[in-house]
Amino acid sequence: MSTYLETICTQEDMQSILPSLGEYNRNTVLTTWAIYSGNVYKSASSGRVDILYRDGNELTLAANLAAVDSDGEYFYDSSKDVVYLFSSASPSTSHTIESGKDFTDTVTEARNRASELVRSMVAKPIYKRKGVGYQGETTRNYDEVLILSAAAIAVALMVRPFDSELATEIEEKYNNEGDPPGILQLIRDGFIKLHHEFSADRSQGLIIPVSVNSSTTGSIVDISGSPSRTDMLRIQITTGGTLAYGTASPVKYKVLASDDTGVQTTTIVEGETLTGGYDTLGMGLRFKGSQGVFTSGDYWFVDAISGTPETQNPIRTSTARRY
Amino acid sequence: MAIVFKPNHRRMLDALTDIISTEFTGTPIYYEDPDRFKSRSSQFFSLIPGESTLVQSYAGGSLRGYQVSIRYYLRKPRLDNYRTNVFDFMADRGERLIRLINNKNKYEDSVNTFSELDTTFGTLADVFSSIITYRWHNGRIDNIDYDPSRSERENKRDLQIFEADFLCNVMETT
Repeated sequence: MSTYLETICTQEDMQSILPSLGEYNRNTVLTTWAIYSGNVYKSASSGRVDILYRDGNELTLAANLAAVDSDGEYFYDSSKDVVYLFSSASPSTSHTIESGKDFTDTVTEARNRASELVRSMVAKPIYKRKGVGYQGETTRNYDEVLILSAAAIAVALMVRPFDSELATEIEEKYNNEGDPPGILQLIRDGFIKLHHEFSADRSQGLIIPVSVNSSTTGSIVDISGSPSRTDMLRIQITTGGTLAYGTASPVKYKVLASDDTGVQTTTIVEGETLTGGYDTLGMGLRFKGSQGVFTSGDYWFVDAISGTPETQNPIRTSTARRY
Repeated sequence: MAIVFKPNHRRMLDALTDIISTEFTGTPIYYEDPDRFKSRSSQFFSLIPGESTLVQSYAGGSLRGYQVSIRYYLRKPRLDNYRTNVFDFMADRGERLIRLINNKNKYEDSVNTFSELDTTFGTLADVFSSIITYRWHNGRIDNIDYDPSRSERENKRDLQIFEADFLCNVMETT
């Protein structure tokens, strides 16, 4: 079987939540050993043994019982639930024998389970956040709220068998149906937005500084109006200078919009002066520049959404009237 | 004039850690109060430094007593076959620890730790006592409790604990 989905969080994400994660491996000490034959010892009812450790060192798995013929080799007979170990010294009194699972496998299992749980709990599409200029500050492929939530649940899955209290403490901030609700519940109910979901800032036009010269001190600070269509506009400074109140502005700009050949491929405003008031952006929008230095070539994107977007905001109150 | 002293308690604890970790290879050793217990791995030791007392004062020094509680934790459920499943193992661990300390009841480092030497002439006597890397004498496990009192955090069904009381004396010259 296979999957097209990938895990949302990494082991590093998990360790950022619980630095001592490495202490929560699933090893268990095998305390009862009896001589099977010569230097071969056996431990019955050992439980599944993926890896056997002696004094913290991983031992060598033999192909079958007959091949257990030198120090440090073992064989686990799953049908009888017995592990056989060749040891020169008694494993009971001279060593500590632990059965367990490779720690990386345990972590991977927890990450996979947590990712699947997050997808189920959020109950809305989870899209990857990938592409040039599309990621957030952390430059990760998923929303940070999802990454942290998945990591916390993965940590809780690993810790819970040994410390239920700590696991609950770690998980409840991210996953809690009670009060206060967890971050995943807030995402599900629309209080926390994922990157692709519409929010007030996007319907009014989201300003994204893309290429701004290091000597530039001014900026685009506000958008007003309602866009006539959805587009990703570009405001670009064509003549640099200093914008200061009380002085005629030398700063010129142009605006690029999309057409049927691509995005920002056609000029809809050109040679306009950046006044510091609400200047023409096009498509029914205006924008405001702040005082300061602007450099030729500076540009900003404006992510504008037209119409009444689906906000996924929760309905807080509703009134029905009958006439 | 600055007071010259030797960090005997710390040196004793370092030495105890060293001999336990050498004997019980792969068994982690922590230093955590039972009230702050955390399930760290399937089995581990926790060394809890205890009191330091003056046993006797002499003209040229003093004899001090030091105490450390050694708690051993094993994550294993207490099943019906408790005797073979848990107790035999715990008792073997305890006896091995007793024999280890008996063998090292007069403990000196096998390696000279010259980094610890004082180099000033004013503490010349101390330099010579450091050279033989004396750590303690009369080291012993005074008692082992296989059912010690537990803190709230240690009160888990699948956790087995024994506590050994380590005592030793350190002769300090002035």
